[in-house]
Amino acid sequence: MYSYLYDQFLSHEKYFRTRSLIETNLTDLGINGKMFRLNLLNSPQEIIRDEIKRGVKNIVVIGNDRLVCQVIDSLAGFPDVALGIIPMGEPTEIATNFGIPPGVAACPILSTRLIRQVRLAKINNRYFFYQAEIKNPDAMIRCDGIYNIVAGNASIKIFNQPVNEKEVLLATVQPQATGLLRKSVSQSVFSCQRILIEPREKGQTVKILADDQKEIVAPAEIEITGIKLKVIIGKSGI
Amino acid sequence: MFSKPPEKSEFETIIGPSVKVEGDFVGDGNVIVEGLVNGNLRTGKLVVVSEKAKITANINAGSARIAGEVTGNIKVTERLDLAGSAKVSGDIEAAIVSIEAGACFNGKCAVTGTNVIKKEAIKTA
Repeated sequence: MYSYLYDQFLSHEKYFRTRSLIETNLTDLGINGKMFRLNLLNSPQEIIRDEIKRGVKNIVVIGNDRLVCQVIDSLAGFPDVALGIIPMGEPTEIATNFGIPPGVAACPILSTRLIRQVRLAKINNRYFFYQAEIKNPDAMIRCDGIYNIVAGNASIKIFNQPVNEKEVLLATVQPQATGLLRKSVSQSVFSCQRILIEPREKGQTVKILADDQKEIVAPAEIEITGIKLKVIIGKSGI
Repeated sequence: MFSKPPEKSEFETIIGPSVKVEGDFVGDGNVIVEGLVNGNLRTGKLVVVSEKAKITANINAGSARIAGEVTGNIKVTERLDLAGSAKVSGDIEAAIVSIEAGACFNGKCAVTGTNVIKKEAIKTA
């Protein structure tokens, strides 16, 4: 059983034709289901909760990365429910990484139902798929509660990426290129289970951007979780 | 735009030249240090301390190649190599020790010999 969540921006008239095409395709493929159009008065969390109670096993998001990120928090505790994506609008990086083409072309992928179990990482009780980027790197970064990384002017990214089949987070520190020739300095790489990010000084604001969508203000704790989410992916999905 | 995670390399941890690590660093894999470390550094595998690295820490590792500055004791179960550019202030202990001409070393040196490695290999077999 499938349920579909249309992103709010898709209510616009200019998407009418695409919406119709998607719905026709889904019916032709025999995977049509209840359609929900998100607006200011309903929330994806409530809809998903009700649909799962109803026994729906596939929640399909029709929209961009922002909506996908909202939805994963609601799906995280349900290992039997799969997330499908029909990418529409911008950005659609998450779907691209799962090998899902935008628009109507994503419909056959839903019907093929090729499933991948995707490990989720958590930042302050919110889940993310791929990466968290620290926007103010001059923060206190404490790994596994035992050592601190002092990076200065650098770009810090934390990847939800196993290393040699070990369940770890991979933190990379890329210093900004300096000098006339913009000579870049080699990257630092750390692997750990848990990272605590705190402002170094009182009044300092440190922001972390998870999956390029969720903005979290430090103090923040990033950790790997044992939770895996079923995602319907394309053949070229990573 | 998502960036790609770093490609797999033989080094699980790389402490780059612009980075400082404070505290007790504990790792499982190979570690390369090009920056600063204050505290302790422990891994079961190889530690490489490059020429510009400065470490104020005790090092416990499987083996180590030191070309930079280390203030602290170094204890490795297998081989310890001090390159010509190495500056070590502290005691060293290893099964095999190699010190290149030009290296500065102030401290006690204990060479446990290859027998220790052989005995440990027999125990684990």
